Order: sequence, then C-alpha cells, then structure tokens
Amino acid sequence: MEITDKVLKEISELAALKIKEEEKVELKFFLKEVLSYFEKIKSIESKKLPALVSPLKPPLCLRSDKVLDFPDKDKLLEQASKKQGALIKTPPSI
Amino acid sequence: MQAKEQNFLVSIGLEIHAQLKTQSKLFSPDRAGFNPGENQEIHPVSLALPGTLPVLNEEALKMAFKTGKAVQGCLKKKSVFSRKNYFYPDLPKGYQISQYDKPFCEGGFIQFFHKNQEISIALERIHIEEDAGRSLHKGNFSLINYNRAGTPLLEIVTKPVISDPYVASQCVKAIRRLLRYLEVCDGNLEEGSMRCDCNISVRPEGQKQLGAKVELKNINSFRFIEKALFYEKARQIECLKLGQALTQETRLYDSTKNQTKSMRSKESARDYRYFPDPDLPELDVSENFLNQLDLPELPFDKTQRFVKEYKFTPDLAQILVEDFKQADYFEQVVLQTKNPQALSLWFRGEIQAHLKEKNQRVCPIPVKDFARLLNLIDEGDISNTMAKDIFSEMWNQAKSPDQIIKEKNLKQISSDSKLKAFAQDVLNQNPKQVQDYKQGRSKLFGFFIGQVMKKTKGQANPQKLSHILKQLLEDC
Amino acid sequence: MDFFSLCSLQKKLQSSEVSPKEVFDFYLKRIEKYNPCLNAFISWKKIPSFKKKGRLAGIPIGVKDLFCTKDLRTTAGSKGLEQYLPPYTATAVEKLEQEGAIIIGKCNNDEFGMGSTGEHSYFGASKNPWNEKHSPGGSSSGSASAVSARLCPASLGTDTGGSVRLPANYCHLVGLKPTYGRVSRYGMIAYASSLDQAGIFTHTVEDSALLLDVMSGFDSKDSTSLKTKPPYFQKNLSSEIKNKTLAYFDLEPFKNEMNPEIVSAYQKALKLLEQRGCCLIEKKIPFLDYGISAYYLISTSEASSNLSRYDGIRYGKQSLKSSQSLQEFYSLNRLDFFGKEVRRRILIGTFSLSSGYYEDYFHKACQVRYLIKQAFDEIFSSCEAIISPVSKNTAPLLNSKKTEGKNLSFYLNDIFTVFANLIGSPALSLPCSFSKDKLPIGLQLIGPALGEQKILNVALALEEDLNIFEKSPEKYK
Repeated sequence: MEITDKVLKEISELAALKIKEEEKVELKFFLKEVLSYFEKIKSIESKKLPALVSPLKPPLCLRSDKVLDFPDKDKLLEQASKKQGALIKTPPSI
Repeated sequence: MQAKEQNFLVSIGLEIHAQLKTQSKLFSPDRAGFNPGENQEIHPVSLALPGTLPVLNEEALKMAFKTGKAVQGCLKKKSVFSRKNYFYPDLPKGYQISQYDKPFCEGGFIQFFHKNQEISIALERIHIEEDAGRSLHKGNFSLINYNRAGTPLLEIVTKPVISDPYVASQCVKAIRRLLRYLEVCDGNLEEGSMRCDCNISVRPEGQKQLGAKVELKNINSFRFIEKALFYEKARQIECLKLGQALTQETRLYDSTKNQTKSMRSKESARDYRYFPDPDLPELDVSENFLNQLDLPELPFDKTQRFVKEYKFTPDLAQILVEDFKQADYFEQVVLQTKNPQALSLWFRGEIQAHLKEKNQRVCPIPVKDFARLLNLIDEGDISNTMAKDIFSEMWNQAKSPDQIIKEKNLKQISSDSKLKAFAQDVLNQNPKQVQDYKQGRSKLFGFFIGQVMKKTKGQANPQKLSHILKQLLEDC
Repeated sequence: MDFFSLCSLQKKLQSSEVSPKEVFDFYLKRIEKYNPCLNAFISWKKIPSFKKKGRLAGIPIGVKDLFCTKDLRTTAGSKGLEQYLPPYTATAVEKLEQEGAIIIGKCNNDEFGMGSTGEHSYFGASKNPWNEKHSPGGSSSGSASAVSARLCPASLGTDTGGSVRLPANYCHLVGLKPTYGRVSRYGMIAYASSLDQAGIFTHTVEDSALLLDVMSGFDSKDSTSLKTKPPYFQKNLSSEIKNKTLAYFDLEPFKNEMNPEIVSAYQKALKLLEQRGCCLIEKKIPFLDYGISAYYLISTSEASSNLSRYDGIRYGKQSLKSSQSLQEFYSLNRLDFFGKEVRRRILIGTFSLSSGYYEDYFHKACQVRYLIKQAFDEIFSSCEAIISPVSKNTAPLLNSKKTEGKNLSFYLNDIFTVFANLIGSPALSLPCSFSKDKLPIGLQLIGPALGEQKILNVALALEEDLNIFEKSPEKYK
C-alpha cells in the first residue's frame, strides 16, 4: 500500500481539505501505516456475505406530510458569515 | 439527404426530474414546492445544521410507488437510500440523499401515441432523491436560496431507445401527462417542477455498441427539446463524417443561437463515493402498502378507450385526454348528447380558447347546459355562430341556453314557410340583383343570404335558407 | 453537602432537605474552583432556572459539548464551532430538562468525538482528577473528569467506539452505552451514524439506570431510534444473578500487552461472580484481528461524509484567507475548521469510500461487521452477558512525546470496546479496582441488544460486592 503525492492530492480534493506542505510527509506515513493495517480484512472470504450497514433493523420510520414551521426560523441563518439580504453569499459557483 | 443519414443510428435517452407535490419536504417538515421568497422555507434539517437527522415523508413514498406501479415497473419491497457525496454551496449536507444501486423501481415503460402509432418507451429505473437549493450567479459571487433544498424529486430514466427527437418530446409529454394524472407532479417545465435532461449518441449503422453519450442538461420546453436534439444529432453525425472522435460530455443548449456548447466541467470525472445512508434504515415496504396503491384510469388506457368508444383517431383522443378533469367533463357531456365528433370540435376550439383566456382548468358550464346547447344545434334550432355567442354567455354567467335564447330572442328560424316569406321579400326588394343572378352572376347568391340574415337578425337557419333561396331563384 | 449518588441527592431534594439553589451553588463553586485546573468544562451556566418539576428536579448535569443545547454555545471541541449557538436542543438533553434537570455546563471532548485521550480538543486536554498528569480518557474526557471530581453528580457523553466506557474506566465511574437506537441521536453532533450512542456517567449503577429511564424512548425525529418501548430499568434493578450464565473473554492474545494489575482485577471480579452463583464460560474474542479495522474503516467513512456539512457557509468559522476558486474556498475553510486528528480521519474515510477502494475497504468492513454480529449473537444465545477488561492499561500520561506518530497503537487500544458499537449492543464500564499508583481500573459488561437490564443487574451485584464506588480522588473529596 503506497500513498503517493498523487493519491494524497486526489483524496484531499475529494475531501475538500487542503493539506499543509509541512504535514505532507507525516500524513503519507500515517495513511500508509493505518491503511496497510486495515488491509488485514482483505483476507476474509466474503463473496456472498451481506454488508451490515446498521447494527439493528428498526422498522420503517415515516413522517406524515404536514408543514411544521420551525419557531424562530428567521434566526436559522443568522450565524452565516457572509450574506446579502436574506441570501447566503459564496464565491462564484459556476 | 436520406441516403447519407441512413448511415448513422441515433440513440436518445431521457432523464426526468419531477418535483413531487407534497406539502413538506422529503426529509424535513418545512414547506416543499415552488415558493417565492428568500430563505423562508427552511428548517434545521434541510439546512444541515449540526446534529440534525432525516425522516422520510410518507406521502412522497406513496407518490413514488404509485408512479412505479403506473409504469408497470418492478417495485422493490426493499430499497436503499444512498449518499451522493460532493461539495457545492446549494447542497447543505455536502451530500445528496438519493438512491444508487438499489432504487425502488426498475424497468417499466411509458406508452403513448405519435402520428397515430402506438409507442412504448422502456424505462431503466425510477428513484427518489432530494433537490438542492438555488444559486443565483452574480459574476464574482453567488447567492444561495435554500427554499428548494430538500424538496422531493422523482428521477425517471428511460433506456436509450428513442431515435426520433419528435418522439423524445412526445415521450416527455407522455410522462408529464402520467404524472399529472397521478397528481404527483405539476409537470411545469418552465417553472422547473419538472426538468428534462436528454442523452444522445450516434454510431455508424452496423455498429452494435452505442457511441459516446452527450448529455444535454435542463431543457425547459418541448420545442427546445426537439431543436436541441436535432442540432446535436446533426453535429455528432458531422463530426463522425469528418473522422473526429466524440467524447462523453455534458453540453448546454443555447436557445437563442440554437446550438449546444460544451460545459467543460469536471462533472464526469467526479467520484461521488456512494454508500448506504446510515441515518435511514433500509426502505422495507409491506405487501399491504403495495396493495393499497390506488391508481386512476391512466392516460394511455383512457386514450385507447376514447378511440374505441368514440371512434376518434389516437392522436385526437390523446389530445382530448390531456387533462383528466377535462376528459371527465367531456365524457359526461357526451353521455347527454351522443355526438362525440361535434363535441371534440368544441373542445379543441371554443373550450381551449376560453380556458386559456380565463386561465382556468375545466369548463365551468354545467354538463346538462352544455349538452343542451349542443342538442339545440343538432336540432337546427340555433346556428353554430349563435351557439358560440350563447356559449360565451354561459361561461360567464350561470344561465341555461334556453334562458339566454329567450332573453335575447335568439331562436333560429327553421320553419320553411317563414323562411320562404323572408326570402321572397328579399327577392322582391332586389329585382335588379335577381336579374343579374339569372344572367350568370352566381356570386350574388351570397348577397341574398346576407340580406335575409339581416332581416332575421342572423336567426335564419343557414342550410335551410340556402335550399329555399335556390328553389325560389329557380322558380323566378 | 456530600452526595455521591444522584439518587440520594434526588431524595434530599424531594424531601426539601436541600434546596435546588443550594445544590446548584455547591456545584457551581466547585466548577469555578477546579475547572481552571481540570479543564473539564468548556462553558457553564451561572444563572440556572428552576422551573420544571420532575424526577430530576434541581439536579445539575454536565453535558458533552457534542450535544446541541439551544442558545448555549455548542463547540464539538472544535475551532470551527467555537462560537456556534444551536437553535434547538438535542432530544436526549430535552428529556432530562423536562424532568427538571439543570444543564450546568458543556463538557470538554476530543473534537467531534475523535480521540481517546482528550488531547484532540481545540480547548486543550481535560485532566484526570485521580492524577492530573494523566488523561481522563476520551473522547468524553470532560464528562468523566467533571463527575469524577464531583463538579456535577452525573454527565452525558457519547460512545462511538468506547468514548464513554474508556473514560469511565480511567476515572472510576460507571459509564453506560445503551443499545443502539435506545436513546435518540437527534441533536447529537454526528461522528459515525451507525455507531454513535449517547452515554451516561455516574458514580453508581442505580443512578445510571435512573438516567437511562429518563432518556430512553422512540424519537420521531430520529429514523434509527427504536420503537420498542423501553422497560423500567431502575425499578427492575436486581443484584440477584444466581445461576446466570456469563461469558468472559480469554486474555491469552494480550498476555504481553496487558497491565498485570488489570488482569488480576479482572480475575478477582470473575471470582466474585462465581461466588454469586454464576456459571462462567470462557470465550475467545471473535474476529479479534479484524474488529479494529472494521471499526475504523466504517467510522471514518461515515465521518468523512457526516463532516462534509462543515464548510463555514451557513454557520461556523470561515477562513480569512482569500481563495481563487470555489474548491479552494472549501479546502481552506475546512483546513482552518478542523484539528489534525479530525482531518486525518476524514482523509482515511474519504479514501475508504473512493472509487477503486470502496469494495476492499468500506464494503468489506461492513461484511466483516456482519460476521462479527453473527458471532456475538452466537455467544449471547448461551449467556446473559460478556465480561471483559475495558483497556490494556490504566490512564495514559498526557502530552507524552511518546504519543507523537503513534496513532495506530492508540487505535489498537480500543480492541475491547469497539465490538459493542459494531454490533449495536449495550455495554458499560464499572469501577473494579485500583493500580498500585492509585489509578482506576474498570471492568466491562456487554449485553445482547436491548439487554441493558441484564448488564445493569450484573453490574449492581459487582458494585455491591466490590463496594468501592464511594472512593474519591484525594484532592476532590
């Protein structure tokens, strides 16, 4: 399991997390060490096994189709860093 | 021209996103649908505030399964919600809850008529997902409105089995018709409650494998669907003829220039890291739930029935059943008039014109009154022209045709003796024209008709008058 | 004013022997005196309201800063949420408040629940009241430290892979993780959705049962919460466990790694249970070599997605650095938002879900999870509960240079606790003994799904026999 600069760059882009130059070496080492250890599970034969996504199987949880206005909904976006009027402002997203 | 195009095969597929007409959003209780206003229809869950969790809207589930049943798809008792992960400001959670490898419906087909031929377009799948918010692009910044974020969507994907752009737009129409019949979606392309993406690829005849798929995103009118597909088909064929390779890409249709442009975004390269959403248990519906999904008579079935019962052509029948409430009205009137052909003309003419002008959905005239009007025409008591005036009156006021006829003294004169009397008067009063007519100026016949109409204030039965005048002129 | 048990405090309040104000002032004074040293609380209330009546009327409770509390700063131990004020309160906390409890403060924790020593909090590590050079454990570090130093009689934590049981183990407390879905996760800032559960820190088993009673139950805002009506845990407590069959884990695979004092405390506890008339059977830990891998792959994958919402756009800090593109805007914001450990785990999780690796990493881990659950179901078909140690060692030292670059070994320390989260089972840690250097040693009980009563009863029996729950660190008596 090799973690190259290319792989690190790809993952950091997918995760939208910039990687500090000074942390690169440490991160590559960490990822390599940890992911190599996790590769242990490859040795388990699992072709026809189901994947357990949740430990228990609760029955269907449905919500009836009624509008419930959140009290103080005007405050919900109060803590946004950048706004213009009631809209949220971001860099251009085309 | 034909010979050249026969060398290439076209494959078109459609991807429809239909907003479900629920009151609240798919996973949160704030208001769904098209709401003007800025960041008013929001909730901690739809804004993805820390600690919030999704809970599925019961009505959205029913609407989705109804649609699946209506297209005769394979409805899965068990299906899974998956997370589609990517970063974009109008996507609060940084992932969209959708369905990936285990949608609730697979297969099925959309049936409709085109040029009186029965067409059946196979579907790939239907799944449920949530909509994102809206971005307003303002040059060097964007503004985000979360009203729409979380609205339930149904994604309907056809197989790439369409080869004619006209059939493609008819297919979208048919899907819209079906969704409106089921009352699960408004189907408004302009407003965006229904969005249409088209995939198109071309390949040389004889090649089995489909060519590179080009996706045309978000075309918001039926006309543009046809135009965009025609343009793109021609462009791709031209490329292949010139020996240029085509790549899988997304293109935008520019309606002002009638051309498509490459989007040049990295969208096709995106890795969405789909995995089952751990906040939502596997969707497991009961046998009971499936059995309780009631469907109305579907558009295609109704069209076929109209063809059989009223002897319309399939195309005409399809037009008449476009709106199910209007179709119901039609059938109720027909029961009382037994003249479907005449009624169909009224439908396509006067009724559509009035509905458009008044922005209404169904003709407000009570069934028995409209039927009475048609029967009066059939019996010759009023002319078509008179009927149109009476019809307009009836639309605006709750009066029966008999009432209006009485009030305005509109009854058509059909008695032979009366008509003869009027006609004779006119001939007596216009001896010169009679002579001219007899000497060959046959166009004066219209003048005589006109004069009688004037005398009778338009109430003369035109067919009978014509017959009587002819007779009188001959006898002169 | 010397209360150990929440239940005795409850009685004193109900009989008006003390007033809510007196109780609150007592604890507030202790917080103001000791928190600068212990760093157990990130924020706390100075002016409570004593409006509600109920089973917990007037009882102050600390709450891990991963629980949203309306209009009270909720930081998740993170720089990005340092000033964040939620507009609503987590259901679990609301239930406490509805019974009259007073949320006295928000406890420090490893950022977003990721860590086992408390050192990954933006607000600095909490200290272990038993020896301030040592960690109280994590990620619910502050919650354990606070109750252990008696800054509040009970507190809430969260447990994803042992984050309640491990600190309870290091701090001489009862730390309970209920069955997955027993307590609502609505309002609990998510780390790993299929593993997270709210947990309870108390001095006694009965206190734990009482709080579990208050907090359990279906919540229509959490699709994964259990619809099964919970039984009355406190009422049904009984230390009568004669003839119950209990399994215990064989420690042979760890013989060179375990602190021998922990091993002997473990064996002593087993003997006590035998004396109680229990039938003990030895079992090997199923899929021992794969549990950690499955746990970390699943938890980091889910976390990488759960934490995508933290972009600084709708709430939280936005980086002041200017960015050239939208991608850079996100990347810089998130770099500033999260600490090192969180970023590390997001990267692992992203990798594990990415195209080309999904099958071999995340998906495989889920299949292993299935096998692990099957194996544990098999064990539970023949016993009431499973006994094991909680950790291989006592509380580690804080700020040890030795911890740098030793992530994997820290992860491997979770070997005893991760299984309960993978299978959704209830589990608890209870005080068992002390090491020579006076550091607490705990014992773990794991029950079958919905089997909280079983493990509470066994815990009660042991608590009676060991009779050490009233011990307190010298400085904090």
